[in-house]
Amino acid sequence: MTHSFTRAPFPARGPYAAAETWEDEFVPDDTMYNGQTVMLIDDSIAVRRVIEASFQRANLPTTTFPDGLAAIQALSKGEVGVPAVLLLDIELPRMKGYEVARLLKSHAGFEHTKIVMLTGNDGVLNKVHSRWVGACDFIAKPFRVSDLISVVSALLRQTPPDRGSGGGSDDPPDTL
Amino acid sequence: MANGSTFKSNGSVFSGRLDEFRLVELLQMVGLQPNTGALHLHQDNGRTGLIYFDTGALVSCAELDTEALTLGHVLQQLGYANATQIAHAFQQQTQDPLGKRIGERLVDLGIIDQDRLIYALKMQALWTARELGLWREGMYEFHPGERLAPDSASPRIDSTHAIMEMLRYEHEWESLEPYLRDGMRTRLMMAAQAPLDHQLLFDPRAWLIISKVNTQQTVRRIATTLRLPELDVARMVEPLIQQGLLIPVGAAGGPGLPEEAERLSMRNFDLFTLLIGMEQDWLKKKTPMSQLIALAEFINSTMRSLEESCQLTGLTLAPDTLNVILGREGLVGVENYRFRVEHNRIDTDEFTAFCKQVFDGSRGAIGASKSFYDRCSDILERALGAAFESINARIASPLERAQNQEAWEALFLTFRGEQAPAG
Repeated sequence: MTHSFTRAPFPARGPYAAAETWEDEFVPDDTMYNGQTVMLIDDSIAVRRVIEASFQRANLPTTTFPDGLAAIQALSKGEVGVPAVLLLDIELPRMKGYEVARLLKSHAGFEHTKIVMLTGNDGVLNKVHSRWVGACDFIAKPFRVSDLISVVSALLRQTPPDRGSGGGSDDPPDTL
Repeated sequence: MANGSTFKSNGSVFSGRLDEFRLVELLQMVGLQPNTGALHLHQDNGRTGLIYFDTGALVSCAELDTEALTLGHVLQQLGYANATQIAHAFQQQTQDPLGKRIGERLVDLGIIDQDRLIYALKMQALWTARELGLWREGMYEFHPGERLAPDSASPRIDSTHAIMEMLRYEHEWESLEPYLRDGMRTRLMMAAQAPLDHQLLFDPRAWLIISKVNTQQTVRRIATTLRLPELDVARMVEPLIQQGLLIPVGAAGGPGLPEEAERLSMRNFDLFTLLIGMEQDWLKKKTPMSQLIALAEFINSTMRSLEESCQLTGLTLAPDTLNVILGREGLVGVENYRFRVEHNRIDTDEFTAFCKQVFDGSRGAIGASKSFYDRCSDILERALGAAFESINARIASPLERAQNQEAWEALFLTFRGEQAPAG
């Protein structure tokens, strides 16, 4: 399987809950996002593991992929739903993050998906390029995990769960 | 297995509901075979219990609750130590949070001996297990292979012994349960006025209990202050409730850790942000020498973050913490070179000079350089892992511990240039 789905198993409550991690500043409850999911595409296994774990502690359902093609494949097969927020590394193998963003944004199903670009290169050109391909935010690595959770939580609150596929529909986008 | 049970097993983890499969039955299943792993119990109200097994023997049992039974409670209830002595040992803990555990400190201070420590740890596990055995609802999940950090003082309790004690306790608790519904965490208060027909003549021990109710509130705390086993105190409390002198007013505590353990826990240590920063630094290091120096610097930055994290909770990291970690793991140097470590920092200038000397000395001999790089990076990586491990051992939640370890192991894959397995 090329993706993982971080659910909220029984330990993600009580003493395991996000309130007891360092992400104290924002602790969403289990139902806050009404099934909206976050997708991360990053070739770094360390980043994927860190985000899976920290988002799970914050009760943010997350799918992760090592590259854009794996994500597109899973989306087209309906293995994962269209995410409300996509965290996208720019330097990806097989297909650059910009191309992934442009491709996804050209699909109607992704109209409401908020794309946040992640990169280790904090240059102005990267920011401009990110805007061109439809990204709404840009986060430079290394980032503070708590900052990333705050950004994603704010974006999820902006995205109504009942609006289009950005609300976490499980229907595969049929033209991908 | 009970009919209609949600018990399921996929070969690695089994889980189900406690109303269908009770703890005492689970213990029979897990403990009567040479299983190693952890049994997690969880209730909807957030209460969590953890029981660790090592080759079939119960080695630890704890509840993640602010009013959980601690070693300090047990030592006082057994009359082995008093509150002042335990406070003194705890004060030492705050000066060296990654060093010895509180029981070992009490042994070092000559307050208890090793036998008493092991007996008290055994009682702590047994008394907690018998209380968890009373749970009638909630979930259980067995995690094979999950272990606690190694501890020389871990008791080993035969599962049959634990099962017999749980059954005996359950039987005895039947008569106490109507009065102490929340077990040893039951909060008590004095009746606003004495019952009219009560002559107010008390057994001296009953008076002792009454005199502690206002300040200590729970059965467990009263027992600890009186230095009496809590079951004995529960037995003494029961008639006082029956007579209308004391009133049970719900349960104290909630999900979390007891106050002292909470202060010593490393939960606010931001490991993930540290790992993300390390990866970004690593990707900029292109030469073998710069990578080795980066690894040494990562150890230093981990210790620096740890110091900052300790300061936030009023703890002080002992200046020899890194030396102790490296020494314990046998990672004090590479070949004939010993890392110079002062105040929890590796002297990276000296280490850089050493690396330069080795790489310059083996100029042209690619095999020798690579061999040195492999040995050195292995030692530094293990040292960094040992530092993470020491911090992780202070995290109460096994789920968080496992996630932390998975995250740093993923980073180590990057260090080794290995292809990451998919999500």
